[in-house]
Amino acid sequence: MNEIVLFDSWAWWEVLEETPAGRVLSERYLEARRVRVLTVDYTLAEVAAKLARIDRAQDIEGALDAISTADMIPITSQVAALAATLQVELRRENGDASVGDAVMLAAARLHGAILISGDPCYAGQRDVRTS
Amino acid sequence: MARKAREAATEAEVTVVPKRIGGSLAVFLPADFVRREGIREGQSIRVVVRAKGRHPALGLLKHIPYEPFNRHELESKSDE
Repeated sequence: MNEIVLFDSWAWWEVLEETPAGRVLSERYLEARRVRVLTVDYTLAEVAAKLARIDRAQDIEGALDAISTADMIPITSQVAALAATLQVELRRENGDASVGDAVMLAAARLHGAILISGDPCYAGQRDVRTS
Repeated sequence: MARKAREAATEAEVTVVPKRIGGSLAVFLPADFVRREGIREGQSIRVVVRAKGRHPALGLLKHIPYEPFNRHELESKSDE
């Protein structure tokens, strides 16, 4: 494996909706050889919650199955501990940064992965890309 | 759709000859893969077949009007 990336819910949503950004993400990472795509298990809950919120509960199972083709990683105590400090850092730049935002970044860093996300709260982070 | 269909850590790309589908199949593994995995003659291995190309997630929710995923909106108490 040459590259490790971590898709957050934003990245998966772009792929699921097949936006121009999503097509690039799929070709560059999901369909590529020698790229390992990680996803934090909490992402499954986020995508399911969004689908329920927009009254598309019937799409939840299929979407979660498709996302589960990635290597799922849990929120371990190391991820949680790093996320706690990262949220404080992220909030210095963006007051909206949530625990969820920090968990994604912490999981990516602990696995040596680039976080793929379009969330503006990651602006300026060295290891976050939108594509 | 099968969950966890791929074994990323032990992946090798091989080509299936269509005329052999349905019968016995010889799989020629790349030499570097065989060395890396320590595969020896007569040893049983597990093979996962996954068609190359379009990822199953791509476009799965294309029928839903697009609005970007926003974690902050999702976590807010209001539905407005």
